[in-house]
Amino acid sequence: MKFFAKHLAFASLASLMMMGMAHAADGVSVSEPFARATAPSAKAGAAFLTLSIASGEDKLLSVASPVAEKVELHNHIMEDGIARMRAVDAIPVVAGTPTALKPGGLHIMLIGLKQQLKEGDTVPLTLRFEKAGDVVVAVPVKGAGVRPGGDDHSGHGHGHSH
Amino acid sequence: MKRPFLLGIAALAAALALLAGTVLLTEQMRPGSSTADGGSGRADIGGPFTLTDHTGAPVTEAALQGQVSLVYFGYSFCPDICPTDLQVIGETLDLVQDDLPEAQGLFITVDPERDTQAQLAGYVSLFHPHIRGLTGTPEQVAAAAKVYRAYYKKVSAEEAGSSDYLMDHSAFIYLFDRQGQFVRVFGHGAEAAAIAEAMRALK
Ligand SMILES: [Cu+2]
Repeated sequence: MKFFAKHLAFASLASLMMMGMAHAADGVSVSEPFARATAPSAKAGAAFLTLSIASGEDKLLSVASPVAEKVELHNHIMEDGIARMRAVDAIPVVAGTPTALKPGGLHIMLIGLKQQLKEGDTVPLTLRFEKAGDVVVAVPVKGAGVRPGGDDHSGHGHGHSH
Repeated sequence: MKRPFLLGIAALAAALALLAGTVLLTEQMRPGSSTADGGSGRADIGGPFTLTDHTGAPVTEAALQGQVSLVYFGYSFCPDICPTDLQVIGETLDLVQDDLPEAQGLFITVDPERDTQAQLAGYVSLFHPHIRGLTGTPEQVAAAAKVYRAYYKKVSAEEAGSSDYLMDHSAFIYLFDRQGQFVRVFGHGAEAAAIAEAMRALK
Protein backbone atom coordinates (compact mmCIF):
# COMPACT_ATOMS: atom_id res chain seq x y z
CA MET A 1 0.00 0.00 0.00
CA LYS A 2 2.61 2.39 1.14
CA PHE A 3 4.82 1.37 -1.71
CA PHE A 4 2.01 1.91 -4.16
CA ALA A 5 1.26 5.39 -2.88
CA LYS A 6 4.88 6.36 -3.15
CA HIS A 7 5.05 4.95 -6.61
CA LEU A 8 1.96 6.81 -7.66
CA ALA A 9 3.28 10.09 -6.30
CA PHE A 10 6.48 9.61 -8.19
CA ALA A 11 4.67 8.78 -11.37
CA SER A 12 2.52 11.89 -11.20
CA LEU A 13 5.55 14.03 -10.46
CA ALA A 14 7.32 12.50 -13.41
CA SER A 15 4.40 13.11 -15.74
CA LEU A 16 4.18 16.69 -14.52
CA MET A 17 7.82 17.11 -15.40
CA MET A 18 7.32 15.50 -18.77
CA MET A 19 4.48 17.88 -19.48
CA GLY A 20 6.74 20.74 -18.60
CA MET A 21 9.40 19.51 -20.91
CA ALA A 22 7.02 19.21 -23.80
CA HIS A 23 4.77 22.24 -23.59
CA ALA A 24 3.22 24.67 -21.23
CA ALA A 25 -0.40 25.57 -21.86
CA ASP A 26 0.52 28.81 -23.59
CA GLY A 27 2.99 27.36 -25.97
CA VAL A 28 6.33 27.98 -24.33
CA SER A 29 8.39 24.87 -24.73
CA VAL A 30 11.60 23.86 -23.08
CA SER A 31 13.99 21.49 -24.76
CA GLU A 32 17.42 19.96 -24.26
CA PRO A 33 17.79 20.81 -20.59
CA PHE A 34 21.00 19.82 -18.84
CA ALA A 35 22.98 20.77 -15.78
CA ARG A 36 26.70 20.37 -15.28
CA ALA A 37 28.07 18.08 -12.60
CA THR A 38 29.81 19.88 -9.75
CA ALA A 39 32.49 19.21 -7.18
CA PRO A 40 31.30 17.78 -3.85
CA SER A 41 31.74 21.10 -2.04
CA ALA A 42 30.69 23.34 -4.92
CA LYS A 43 28.72 26.43 -3.99
CA ALA A 44 27.44 27.03 -7.49
CA GLY A 45 26.26 25.15 -10.53
CA ALA A 46 24.57 25.89 -13.82
CA ALA A 47 21.72 24.60 -15.94
CA PHE A 48 21.14 25.19 -19.62
CA LEU A 49 18.15 24.70 -21.91
CA THR A 50 16.45 26.04 -25.00
CA LEU A 51 13.24 28.04 -24.86
CA SER A 52 10.83 28.45 -27.72
CA ILE A 53 7.31 29.62 -28.23
CA ALA A 54 4.83 28.74 -30.98
CA SER A 55 3.46 32.24 -31.36
CA GLY A 56 3.79 35.64 -29.79
CA GLU A 57 6.29 36.16 -27.04
CA ASP A 58 6.88 35.52 -23.39
CA LYS A 59 9.55 36.14 -20.82
CA LEU A 60 11.37 33.90 -18.39
CA LEU A 61 11.21 35.89 -15.17
CA SER A 62 12.74 33.61 -12.57
CA VAL A 63 13.65 30.05 -11.73
CA ALA A 64 13.44 28.10 -8.50
CA SER A 65 14.88 24.76 -7.48
CA PRO A 66 14.97 22.75 -4.28
CA VAL A 67 18.68 22.03 -4.86
CA ALA A 68 19.83 25.64 -4.44
CA GLU A 69 19.31 28.53 -2.06
CA LYS A 70 19.08 30.93 -4.94
CA VAL A 71 18.57 30.55 -8.65
CA GLU A 72 19.53 33.43 -10.88
CA LEU A 73 19.45 34.22 -14.56
CA HIS A 74 22.94 35.05 -15.76
CA ASN A 75 24.74 35.97 -18.91
CA HIS A 76 28.39 35.67 -19.76
CA ILE A 77 29.96 38.33 -21.89
CA MET A 78 33.32 37.66 -23.53
CA GLU A 79 35.15 40.85 -24.31
CA ASP A 80 38.75 40.89 -25.52
CA GLY A 81 39.21 37.46 -24.03
CA ILE A 82 37.84 38.50 -20.67
CA ALA A 83 34.83 36.65 -19.30
CA ARG A 84 32.35 38.75 -17.35
CA MET A 85 29.39 37.05 -15.71
CA ARG A 86 26.40 39.23 -14.83
CA ALA A 87 22.85 38.66 -13.68
CA VAL A 88 20.03 39.55 -16.06
CA ASP A 89 16.48 40.49 -15.07
CA ALA A 90 14.60 38.31 -17.52
CA ILE A 91 15.11 36.28 -20.67
CA PRO A 92 12.73 37.02 -23.56
CA VAL A 93 11.31 34.27 -25.74
CA VAL A 94 10.04 35.26 -29.17
CA ALA A 95 8.28 33.06 -31.73
CA GLY A 96 10.48 31.94 -34.58
CA THR A 97 13.78 32.27 -32.74
CA PRO A 98 14.52 29.75 -30.01
CA THR A 99 16.46 31.23 -27.12
CA ALA A 100 19.35 28.96 -26.25
CA LEU A 101 20.79 29.09 -22.78
CA LYS A 102 24.16 27.50 -23.35
CA PRO A 103 27.69 27.51 -21.97
CA GLY A 104 29.46 30.77 -22.70
CA GLY A 105 26.28 32.84 -22.63
CA LEU A 106 22.92 32.80 -20.93
CA HIS A 107 22.60 30.31 -18.12
CA ILE A 108 20.56 29.43 -15.09
CA MET A 109 22.92 29.88 -12.16
CA LEU A 110 22.33 27.77 -9.08
CA ILE A 111 23.83 29.51 -6.07
CA GLY A 112 24.18 28.01 -2.63
CA LEU A 113 23.91 24.40 -3.78
CA LYS A 114 22.36 22.18 -1.14
CA GLN A 115 23.72 19.06 -2.76
CA GLN A 116 26.43 18.02 -5.16
CA LEU A 117 25.16 17.73 -8.71
CA LYS A 118 26.23 14.27 -9.80
CA GLU A 119 26.30 13.04 -13.35
CA GLY A 120 23.24 10.87 -13.90
CA ASP A 121 21.08 12.70 -11.35
CA THR A 122 18.02 14.70 -12.29
CA VAL A 123 17.24 18.05 -10.72
CA PRO A 124 13.87 19.79 -10.88
CA LEU A 125 13.65 23.42 -11.94
CA THR A 126 10.52 25.54 -11.87
CA LEU A 127 10.64 28.15 -14.60
CA ARG A 128 8.34 31.11 -14.09
CA PHE A 129 7.19 32.83 -17.26
CA GLU A 130 5.35 36.11 -17.46
CA LYS A 131 2.48 34.64 -19.45
CA ALA A 132 2.82 30.88 -19.32
CA GLY A 133 3.24 30.78 -15.57
CA ASP A 134 5.19 27.99 -13.96
CA VAL A 135 6.77 25.22 -15.99
CA VAL A 136 8.47 22.37 -14.17
CA VAL A 137 11.41 20.82 -15.94
CA ALA A 138 13.38 17.71 -15.00
CA VAL A 139 16.98 18.51 -15.77
CA PRO A 140 19.49 15.68 -16.24
CA VAL A 141 22.94 16.27 -14.80
CA LYS A 142 25.70 15.62 -17.32
CA GLY A 143 29.48 15.93 -17.25
CA ALA A 144 31.12 18.90 -15.54
CA GLY A 145 32.29 20.45 -18.80
CA VAL A 146 29.66 19.08 -21.14
CA ARG A 147 28.55 21.23 -24.06
CA PRO A 148 25.16 21.14 -25.81
CA GLY A 149 24.75 18.07 -27.95
CA GLY A 150 28.11 17.07 -26.57
CA ASP A 151 26.99 13.73 -25.23
CA ASP A 152 29.66 12.01 -27.25
CA HIS A 153 32.31 14.15 -25.64
CA SER A 154 31.17 13.86 -22.09
CA GLY A 155 33.16 10.66 -21.80
CA HIS A 156 36.42 12.51 -22.43
CA GLY A 157 38.21 13.63 -19.38
CA HIS A 158 36.00 11.37 -17.33
CA GLY A 159 36.31 7.84 -16.12
CA HIS A 160 39.73 8.96 -15.03
CA SER A 161 39.04 8.79 -11.36
CA HIS A 162 42.51 7.45 -10.68
CA MET B 1 39.16 65.70 -1.71
CA LYS B 2 37.72 63.59 -4.42
CA ARG B 3 40.39 64.33 -6.96
CA PRO B 4 43.15 61.91 -5.87
CA PHE B 5 40.56 59.18 -5.71
CA LEU B 6 39.37 59.90 -9.25
CA LEU B 7 42.93 60.08 -10.48
CA GLY B 8 43.57 56.74 -8.88
CA ILE B 9 40.56 55.29 -10.68
CA ALA B 10 41.74 56.75 -13.97
CA ALA B 11 45.22 55.33 -13.47
CA LEU B 12 43.73 51.96 -12.62
CA ALA B 13 41.50 52.03 -15.68
CA ALA B 14 44.48 52.91 -17.85
CA ALA B 15 46.51 50.10 -16.34
CA LEU B 16 43.69 47.65 -16.94
CA ALA B 17 43.26 48.79 -20.52
CA LEU B 18 46.96 48.28 -21.03
CA LEU B 19 46.74 44.85 -19.51
CA ALA B 20 43.77 43.93 -21.67
CA GLY B 21 45.70 45.19 -24.66
CA THR B 22 48.67 43.06 -23.73
CA VAL B 23 46.46 40.04 -23.45
CA LEU B 24 45.04 40.78 -26.87
CA LEU B 25 48.50 41.22 -28.25
CA THR B 26 49.68 37.93 -26.90
CA GLU B 27 46.57 36.37 -28.35
CA GLN B 28 47.82 37.35 -31.79
CA MET B 29 51.39 36.55 -31.05
CA ARG B 30 52.54 33.35 -32.63
CA PRO B 31 56.03 32.05 -32.13
CA GLY B 32 57.01 32.28 -35.76
CA SER B 33 60.45 33.33 -34.63
CA SER B 34 61.22 30.40 -32.43
CA THR B 35 64.89 31.26 -32.33
CA ALA B 36 65.80 29.72 -29.05
CA ASP B 37 66.66 32.11 -26.24
CA GLY B 38 66.32 35.09 -28.55
CA GLY B 39 64.77 37.05 -25.72
CA SER B 40 63.13 39.53 -28.06
CA GLY B 41 61.28 36.91 -30.10
CA ARG B 42 59.23 35.56 -27.25
CA ALA B 43 56.42 37.16 -25.37
CA ASP B 44 57.36 37.82 -21.81
CA ILE B 45 54.82 35.52 -20.24
CA GLY B 46 55.46 33.30 -17.27
CA GLY B 47 57.95 33.60 -14.49
CA PRO B 48 58.37 32.95 -10.81
CA PHE B 49 55.34 32.14 -8.67
CA THR B 50 54.66 30.39 -5.39
CA LEU B 51 51.36 28.62 -4.93
CA THR B 52 49.93 25.48 -3.32
CA ASP B 53 48.28 22.69 -5.25
CA HIS B 54 45.04 20.86 -4.42
CA THR B 55 46.93 18.21 -2.48
CA GLY B 56 48.68 20.81 -0.35
CA ALA B 57 52.03 20.54 -2.13
CA PRO B 58 53.92 23.76 -2.80
CA VAL B 59 54.24 24.61 -6.48
CA THR B 60 56.58 27.04 -8.20
CA GLU B 61 57.47 27.75 -11.81
CA ALA B 62 59.77 24.72 -11.54
CA ALA B 63 56.62 22.61 -12.07
CA LEU B 64 56.77 23.65 -15.71
CA GLN B 65 60.17 22.04 -16.21
CA GLY B 66 60.33 18.66 -17.93
CA GLN B 67 56.90 18.41 -19.49
CA VAL B 68 54.60 20.30 -21.80
CA SER B 69 52.03 22.26 -19.81
CA LEU B 70 48.77 24.08 -20.29
CA VAL B 71 48.11 26.85 -17.79
CA TYR B 72 44.71 28.40 -17.17
CA PHE B 73 43.44 31.08 -14.78
CA GLY B 74 39.84 30.85 -13.60
CA TYR B 75 37.64 30.11 -10.59
CA SER B 76 35.55 27.14 -9.64
CA PHE B 77 32.46 29.20 -8.78
CA CYS B 78 32.19 29.91 -12.51
CA PRO B 79 29.91 27.16 -13.84
CA ASP B 80 30.11 28.18 -17.43
CA ILE B 81 33.35 29.42 -19.00
CA CYS B 82 35.88 27.65 -16.79
CA PRO B 83 34.37 24.15 -16.96
CA THR B 84 34.26 24.44 -20.74
CA ASP B 85 37.94 25.36 -20.90
CA LEU B 86 38.93 22.71 -18.37
CA GLN B 87 36.99 20.17 -20.37
CA VAL B 88 38.95 21.21 -23.45
CA ILE B 89 42.21 20.91 -21.49
CA GLY B 90 41.15 17.45 -20.28
CA GLU B 91 40.24 16.36 -23.79
CA THR B 92 43.56 17.71 -25.05
CA LEU B 93 45.51 15.78 -22.43
CA ASP B 94 43.62 12.66 -23.51
CA LEU B 95 44.52 13.32 -27.14
CA VAL B 96 48.25 13.66 -26.43
CA GLN B 97 48.32 10.84 -23.91
CA ASP B 98 50.38 8.54 -26.13
CA ASP B 99 52.84 11.15 -27.33
CA LEU B 100 53.15 13.22 -24.18
CA PRO B 101 52.13 11.04 -21.24
CA GLU B 102 53.58 13.52 -18.76
CA ALA B 103 51.73 16.55 -20.12
CA GLN B 104 49.85 18.47 -17.46
CA GLY B 105 47.29 21.18 -16.91
CA LEU B 106 47.62 23.83 -14.22
CA PHE B 107 44.40 25.53 -13.13
CA ILE B 108 45.30 28.65 -11.17
CA THR B 109 42.41 30.15 -9.26
CA VAL B 110 41.80 33.89 -9.30
CA ASP B 111 39.40 33.45 -6.39
CA PRO B 112 41.51 32.14 -3.50
CA GLU B 113 38.84 33.27 -1.06
CA ARG B 114 36.44 30.57 -2.24
CA ASP B 115 38.89 28.21 -3.91
CA THR B 116 40.49 26.48 -0.97
CA GLN B 117 42.69 23.46 -1.44
CA ALA B 118 39.76 21.14 -0.63
CA GLN B 119 37.40 22.89 -3.00
CA LEU B 120 39.96 22.69 -5.82
CA ALA B 121 40.63 19.01 -5.14
CA GLY B 122 36.99 18.12 -5.79
CA TYR B 123 36.87 20.44 -8.76
CA VAL B 124 39.91 19.57 -10.87
CA SER B 125 39.30 15.85 -10.48
CA LEU B 126 36.06 16.31 -12.41
CA PHE B 127 38.12 17.01 -15.51
CA HIS B 128 41.39 15.11 -15.64
CA PRO B 129 43.84 13.47 -13.23
CA HIS B 130 46.71 15.43 -14.80
CA ILE B 131 45.17 18.78 -13.99
CA ARG B 132 46.48 20.37 -10.80
CA GLY B 133 44.48 23.06 -9.04
CA LEU B 134 46.63 25.87 -7.64
CA THR B 135 45.68 28.38 -4.99
CA GLY B 136 47.47 30.61 -2.50
CA THR B 137 47.15 33.81 -0.56
CA PRO B 138 45.56 36.70 -2.43
CA GLU B 139 49.06 38.17 -2.79
CA GLN B 140 50.51 34.96 -4.21
CA VAL B 141 47.67 34.68 -6.70
CA ALA B 142 48.07 38.33 -7.71
CA ALA B 143 51.80 37.80 -8.24
CA ALA B 144 51.21 34.71 -10.39
CA ALA B 145 48.55 36.46 -12.47
CA LYS B 146 50.94 39.35 -13.01
CA VAL B 147 53.73 37.25 -14.48
CA TYR B 148 51.22 35.50 -16.76
CA ARG B 149 49.55 38.80 -17.62
CA ALA B 150 46.26 37.24 -16.63
CA TYR B 151 43.54 39.73 -15.82
CA TYR B 152 41.02 39.31 -13.05
CA LYS B 153 38.82 41.55 -10.98
CA LYS B 154 36.40 40.90 -8.19
CA VAL B 155 32.91 42.16 -8.99
CA SER B 156 30.74 42.78 -5.95
CA ALA B 157 27.41 41.00 -5.65
CA GLU B 158 25.74 44.37 -5.98
CA GLU B 159 27.54 45.31 -9.17
CA ALA B 160 27.01 41.87 -10.71
CA GLY B 161 23.35 41.90 -9.72
CA SER B 162 23.93 38.54 -8.09
CA SER B 163 23.60 37.23 -4.55
CA ASP B 164 27.33 36.56 -4.35
CA TYR B 165 30.41 38.20 -5.75
CA LEU B 166 31.71 37.12 -9.15
CA MET B 167 35.08 37.37 -10.85
CA ASP B 168 35.84 38.88 -14.22
CA HIS B 169 38.82 37.05 -15.65
CA SER B 170 40.79 36.51 -18.83
CA ALA B 171 40.05 33.07 -20.24
CA PHE B 172 43.23 31.91 -21.95
CA ILE B 173 44.97 28.58 -22.22
CA TYR B 174 48.72 29.18 -22.14
CA LEU B 175 51.00 26.60 -23.71
CA PHE B 176 54.46 26.06 -22.24
CA ASP B 177 57.18 23.81 -23.57
CA ARG B 178 59.32 21.33 -21.63
CA GLN B 179 61.80 24.04 -20.71
CA GLY B 180 59.05 26.05 -19.10
CA GLN B 181 59.12 28.59 -21.93
CA PHE B 182 55.92 30.24 -23.08
CA VAL B 183 54.91 29.12 -26.58
CA ARG B 184 51.51 30.64 -27.29
CA VAL B 185 48.04 31.18 -25.98
CA PHE B 186 44.69 29.75 -27.05
CA GLY B 187 41.49 31.69 -26.54
CA HIS B 188 38.19 30.46 -25.16
CA GLY B 189 36.55 28.22 -27.75
CA ALA B 190 39.80 26.69 -28.99
CA GLU B 191 39.48 23.09 -30.12
CA ALA B 192 41.23 20.31 -28.25
CA ALA B 193 42.57 18.93 -31.54
CA ALA B 194 44.31 22.22 -32.39
CA ILE B 195 45.89 22.50 -28.95
CA ALA B 196 46.96 18.87 -29.07
CA GLU B 197 48.65 19.47 -32.42
CA ALA B 198 50.59 22.43 -31.03
CA MET B 199 51.60 20.31 -28.04
CA ARG B 200 52.81 17.42 -30.17
CA ALA B 201 54.98 19.83 -32.11
CA LEU B 202 56.89 20.36 -28.86
CA LYS B 203 57.53 16.68 -28.45
CU1 LIG C 1 26.61 32.62 -13.67
